[in-house]
Amino acid sequence: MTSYDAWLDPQEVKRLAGQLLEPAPTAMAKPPGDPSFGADFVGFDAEELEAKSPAPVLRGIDGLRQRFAHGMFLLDERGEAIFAEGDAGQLQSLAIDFARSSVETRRGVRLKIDAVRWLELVPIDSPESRRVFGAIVTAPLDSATFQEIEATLGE
Amino acid sequence: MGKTTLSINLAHAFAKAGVKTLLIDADPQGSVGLSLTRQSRSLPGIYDYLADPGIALDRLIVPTRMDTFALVASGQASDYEAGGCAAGSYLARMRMFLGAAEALGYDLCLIDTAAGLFGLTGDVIAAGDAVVIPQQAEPLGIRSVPKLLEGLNRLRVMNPRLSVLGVVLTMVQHDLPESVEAAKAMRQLLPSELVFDTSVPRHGLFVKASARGLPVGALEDGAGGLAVFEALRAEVQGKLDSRGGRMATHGR
Repeated sequence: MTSYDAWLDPQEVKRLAGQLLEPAPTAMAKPPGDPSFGADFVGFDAEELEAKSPAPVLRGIDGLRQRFAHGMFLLDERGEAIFAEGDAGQLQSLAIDFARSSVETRRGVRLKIDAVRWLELVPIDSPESRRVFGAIVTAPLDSATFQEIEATLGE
Repeated sequence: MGKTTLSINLAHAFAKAGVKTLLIDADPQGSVGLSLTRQSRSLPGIYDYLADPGIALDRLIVPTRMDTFALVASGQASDYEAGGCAAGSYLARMRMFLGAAEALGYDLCLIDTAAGLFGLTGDVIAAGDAVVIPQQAEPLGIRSVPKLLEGLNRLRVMNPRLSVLGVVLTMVQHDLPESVEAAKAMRQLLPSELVFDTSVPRHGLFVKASARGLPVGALEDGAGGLAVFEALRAEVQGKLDSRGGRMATHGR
């Protein structure tokens, strides 16, 4: 019995410390290789990817182009640009970092990139893939804009 | 003496032993930089690297008089400018940083983090191979041990290969009963594998070294301090040998 026993539970401390010495639990750990994609990601099929036409996506960006004049991009599952416009190109690698990190949020990620601008990263999920849309904005996106992006690019 | 002094002197001990060592100041207070370089306020550093994917690591490296010892300052950007820091935000970028350091030939990256296990500190630990926990030998530190262990267990879920090398007792005052009791209690509470045999006493040498912007081992009369950190280095090295070598010293 030490004077610290009143402040903490020694048995609990020993249990927690013991866990640190054991092999780490791996059940929640994501498998190496493609940590960017959720549990529903089924892998790449080269032929299928080649067969896909980018046309439907590109048809939808005209409206977004007006809205995101500072720059925007769309990355595919491999982190490669399907399109990139404006000043956003240099931020693509940052977006790829995010796409590959373990961050999972419903509405994406917002980064302050300078005094007046933000980079918004929005995951675009479809049954076949997860893409990442990025846009440079001067004000955070509102809910309606998120929906417009998802509707336009998620088709 | 706390985590920054530990980081500086442990990194110096590794470098002195011939290990090519990169000491990284990931504490936004910039204490490592302020301790060792007069120009640290204007140097780009790890926060800039995290905020700007266009920055290459070799632009950030500050050489020292030792070929085996270099620094990366905390830098000019802040958490806020990088867009806040939810857990995981910097994980991929930190891994990229460590990979770049390895590619530049560094054997060991020793990262001085801010206190706590949240935000960037969590990402640094989750990206690393091993963590050392400096713990001041004082009553408050002992009481926070359960929270620390819970946090480290959570981070090991994110990074299953993370090795918790253990707690280093710092600022031990052998003439102060409360300090001695706190050190003793830590050794009683934790398994011996999780507490380093070497502890770091509170000593005026560290203040003197800090005032001169040097590791304690570089002082003319620093042999005693050097011996402490050489013993600690040997313990760390022994634990790292089987586990790989990118380490964070986590602030408490």
